Amino acid sequence: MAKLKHLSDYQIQELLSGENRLRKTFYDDHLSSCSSCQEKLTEYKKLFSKIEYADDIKISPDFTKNVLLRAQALKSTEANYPILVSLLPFVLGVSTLAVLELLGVISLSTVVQSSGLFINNFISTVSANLFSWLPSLNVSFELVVIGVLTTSLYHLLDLLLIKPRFR
Amino acid sequence: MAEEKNLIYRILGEEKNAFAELIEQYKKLVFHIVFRIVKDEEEREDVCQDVFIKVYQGLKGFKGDCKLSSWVGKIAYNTSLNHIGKRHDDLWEDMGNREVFLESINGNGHHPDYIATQSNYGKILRSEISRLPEQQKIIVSLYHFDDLSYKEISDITGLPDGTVKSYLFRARQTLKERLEKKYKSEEWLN
Repeated sequence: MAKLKHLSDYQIQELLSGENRLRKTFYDDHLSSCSSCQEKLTEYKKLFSKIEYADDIKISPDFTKNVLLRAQALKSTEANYPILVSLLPFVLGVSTLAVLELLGVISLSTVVQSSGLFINNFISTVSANLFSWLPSLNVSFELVVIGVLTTSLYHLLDLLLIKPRFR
Repeated sequence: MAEEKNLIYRILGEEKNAFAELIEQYKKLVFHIVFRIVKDEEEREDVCQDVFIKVYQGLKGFKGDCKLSSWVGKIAYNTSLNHIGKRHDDLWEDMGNREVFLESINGNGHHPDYIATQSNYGKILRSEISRLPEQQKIIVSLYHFDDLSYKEISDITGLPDGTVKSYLFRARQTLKERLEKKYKSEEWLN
């Protein structure tokens, strides 16, 4: 059998890390008769043990407390967030109209009147179509209304209460 | 794994102290990663806090396809890179440049007075670890200080297992050679 050459740094590190168990016997045999590799092994052993003691990380004692405070603050902000977002378009819309009214660009009473007329016309058209269409489907109008209301209520609750709790 | 899941459920169920438990468990790991990448001492702790806030926000989305330590470590790694404005690839490029730089100063060593003041070999080794290329530094920390496996380090850094192993071996070899160069073998072995 050919004599094993000196162990490489890689092989010695493998040995110390407990890897390549299949070759361990060969390595051990060689080490028992080679003072040069034994010396290298001792050097790596020392290096391994010294590295363990070279940990220089110092963590401030208040670190955990500070992170918890930030997480707490984040949680309360997020809990309020959906309500603010839901109200934001309304607030922005009213503010814009008020500014335009003040600048004399529009008359708020005219806007309200024309919006009312538009909504009235829209509802009348939709209802007229629904009433002529629904009977042919044989679906109860009350059932549709209940379905729409339940779904809307669920989404509203989900947006305002459930999601922020688990976000 | 079961303990990890239990901890996650407790945090999601808003159990008091559960998140503090997670922080205590992984803060050393997070600090090791962040401290090796972020150089600014004043910013480091803030980045570590950011990491845990991200963990807190993302916990619901944790699928459990790797160990919790790897997942937290990965967040720490990416947050640190984002903080210093680097991509994973840039860190690799830096490593090459830095190696050339270190090669050029290799052998010059420190001033003898400086060495004399470093009475503690732990300090000397720390200083040598800090001179290693970025990736090697992180890998040495994660393997020796946090006892992570090649697989876990691979999950965190996104490097293949074999690369992690080879960088770790190269880092140790470099450390040994540098220590030998500076001091007589028997001196640093004591």
